[in-house]
Amino acid sequence: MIAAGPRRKRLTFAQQVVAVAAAAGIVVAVLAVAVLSGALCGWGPTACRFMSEVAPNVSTNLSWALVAISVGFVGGFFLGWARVSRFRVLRGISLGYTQVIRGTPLLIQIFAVFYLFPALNRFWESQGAGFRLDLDEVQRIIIALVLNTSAYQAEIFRAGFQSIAAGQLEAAASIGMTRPQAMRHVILPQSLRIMAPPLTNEYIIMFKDATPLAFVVAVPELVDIANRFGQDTQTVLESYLLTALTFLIVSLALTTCLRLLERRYAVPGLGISVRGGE
Amino acid sequence: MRLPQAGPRAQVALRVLRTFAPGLIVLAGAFVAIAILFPLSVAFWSAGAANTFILFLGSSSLGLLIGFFVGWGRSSGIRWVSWPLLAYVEGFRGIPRIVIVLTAVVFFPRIGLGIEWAVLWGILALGVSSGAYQAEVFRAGFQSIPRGQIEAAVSVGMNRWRSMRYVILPQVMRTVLPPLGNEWIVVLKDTSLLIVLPGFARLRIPDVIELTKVAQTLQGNTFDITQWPIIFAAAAAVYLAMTLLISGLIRFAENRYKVPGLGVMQA
Amino acid sequence: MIEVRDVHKWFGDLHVIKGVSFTVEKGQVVVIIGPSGSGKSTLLRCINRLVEPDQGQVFVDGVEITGVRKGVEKLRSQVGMVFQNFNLFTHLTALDNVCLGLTKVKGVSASRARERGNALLEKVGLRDRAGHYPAQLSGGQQQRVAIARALAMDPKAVLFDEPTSALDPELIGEVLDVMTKLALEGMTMVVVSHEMGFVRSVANRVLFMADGAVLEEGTPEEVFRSPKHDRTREFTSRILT
Repeated sequence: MIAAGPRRKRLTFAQQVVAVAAAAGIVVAVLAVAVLSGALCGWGPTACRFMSEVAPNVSTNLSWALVAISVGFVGGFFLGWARVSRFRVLRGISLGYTQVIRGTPLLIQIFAVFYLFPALNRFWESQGAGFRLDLDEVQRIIIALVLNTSAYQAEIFRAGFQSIAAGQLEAAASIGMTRPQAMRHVILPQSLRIMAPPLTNEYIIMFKDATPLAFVVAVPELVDIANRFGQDTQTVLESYLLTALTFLIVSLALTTCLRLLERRYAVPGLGISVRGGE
Repeated sequence: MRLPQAGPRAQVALRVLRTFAPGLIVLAGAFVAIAILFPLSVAFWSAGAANTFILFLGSSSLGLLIGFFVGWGRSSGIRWVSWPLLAYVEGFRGIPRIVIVLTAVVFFPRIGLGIEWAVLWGILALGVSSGAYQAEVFRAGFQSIPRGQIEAAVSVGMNRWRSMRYVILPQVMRTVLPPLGNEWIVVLKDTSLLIVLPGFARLRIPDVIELTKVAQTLQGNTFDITQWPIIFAAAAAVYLAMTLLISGLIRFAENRYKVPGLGVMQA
Repeated sequence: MIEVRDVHKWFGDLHVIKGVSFTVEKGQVVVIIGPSGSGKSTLLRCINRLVEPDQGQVFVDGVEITGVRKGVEKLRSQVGMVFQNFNLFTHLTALDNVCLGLTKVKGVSASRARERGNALLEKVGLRDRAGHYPAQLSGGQQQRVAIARALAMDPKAVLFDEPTSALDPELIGEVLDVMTKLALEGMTMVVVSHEMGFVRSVANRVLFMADGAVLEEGTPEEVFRSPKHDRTREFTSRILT
């Protein structure tokens, strides 16, 4: 079924947006029909309640993701830098850390960090140290998220640093720039542009896949609240479906916005595939 | 490691050793630590690890099957095939996997798959979700094959089927294995999401004992709170070992399809 | 203007430059030719210390640049360099590429830099492409922008490392024209190149390098018509059809 006719053009950016919007539209339409035909019992009013009371909690997820990504950006930068450093020890530490984080489930990481602090407190207590670190559950979740995203962003930074051709450094040196100057005016601007797509991708992943895991340790965010709402109103399945829909709509909107931003700052020929047919 | 030049057989053996050594060492280390710290639970841990592996195999295979056909369909020029599949792909990629698992938990009983089918719920949820991601990989893979390859195959006298089998697919495999491998590792780690399968709310022996549930159950039965992070660290180590070993296998598969002089397609 | 004295360079155990010495007078155009791997590019990079000589000295306009510990960068801006792969800054327009050195290294004001940049682009015939990014320019155009970038720093000499080797044949001419014009204006140039037409017409002196040493030195006629070494004869006969 490979296209036998003239090679099919890649969808332009506008076409892609329309296609995705159409897909979302179909989902909404199907659900609307289900509601109206009463196929899913106890729907209509509950659905409205859900959308007005529960759905807005998605902002919690969004803000957690934002905080985690921002702090993780700094962490990822240093880890990525260490990964390409001249010193074997730094390289080893960075590699070890990223391997462990990327090789273990985020849920386990959340559990481990979540219970680490109370455990430390208990331990210090038992040793008579008088030293405590009391972090509320949201703070602990965010720490786990930060530790996780730093490792993934480290990889992005590493690729960013290594992808700038050596010739750029040579050229900068040949016009008399010092290493810091070259870094600031030549390497970094190019690195950041190359790293923008994977970084925005990471944000979307953080929002969509990472923050909902807080549900498992019963920290209030959309999935957790939706679950409780569903239990209270006997509409668990519908609640989950609406949660899915909320995530879908928000992540599609997010993706579209971020792609638009990317296009605005894209430089022709600089690593970013400028969508919309070359 | 400086060894005298070994014969080709020995070199292969050496490569196998070097690839799987880290994973095996971590696995051994983890179980030794578990045996020392939580001696009564070793069998429990083993069961959890084995179940995780089985769940991983089932889900990633289902995802592979779905992904292949959906990706193939998406890469065709036929719009009435491609666009509905786009809805599936974009839909499932936009929904958190845990929400998909939770939905499966409430949905399947309603259509007659009772609680004894919990394992199947998990595999279906992860498989269908992963299928969307694998479909994207296959779509890109199929679309990256230059038109000229099909023309050349046809000009040699091959029919559609033959050209697919001997010309297209081998090249698609080369492109598709690394990103697929990544997704499979993600599925392995996402089996931890199956912790929400029934049994979670009750502290009796749960139906689906995968590794994360093992850790959580052990944590629930451990009085000393300072041991809790250690339990999860041990679980992390076992997961890490599994990740390393399976990545090693995938790398071997990748090598079989590598072509000297041709890079692998960069995502 | 440029003096290279007994320069040696090792890469690990490999003796890449074996005691090379030569001088370039002000306004001269010296071309270095030779088989690949002979150390020509490395030698060129020793002149602006992109590569550090392990032994020997390099003088630019009387100043020993190999002796300087700090502040090498300042000295580098005195000698411009044009690379085989252009190495234009891909995130900047042609004009910005030319002006970057002026504004960030020399501290010139943005408006004056732009003036100078436009004048230089005019000189290489690309004034109308000032707002284009490197990816939007042909190879020949990119290289000409690179030359303008090197000239922006008002260098005492310009080094060219195989400037046309990465270009499609029909684009080579426009770059050589700019280089010829530069030479006629009296710029001191050290060029590594295979373009024999250019060498014959513009070079004052030719150096033949093989295996890290300068085997032959003289005017183009001397080196091409009556070389003293067999190796030189072998090389020149192969590239001069």
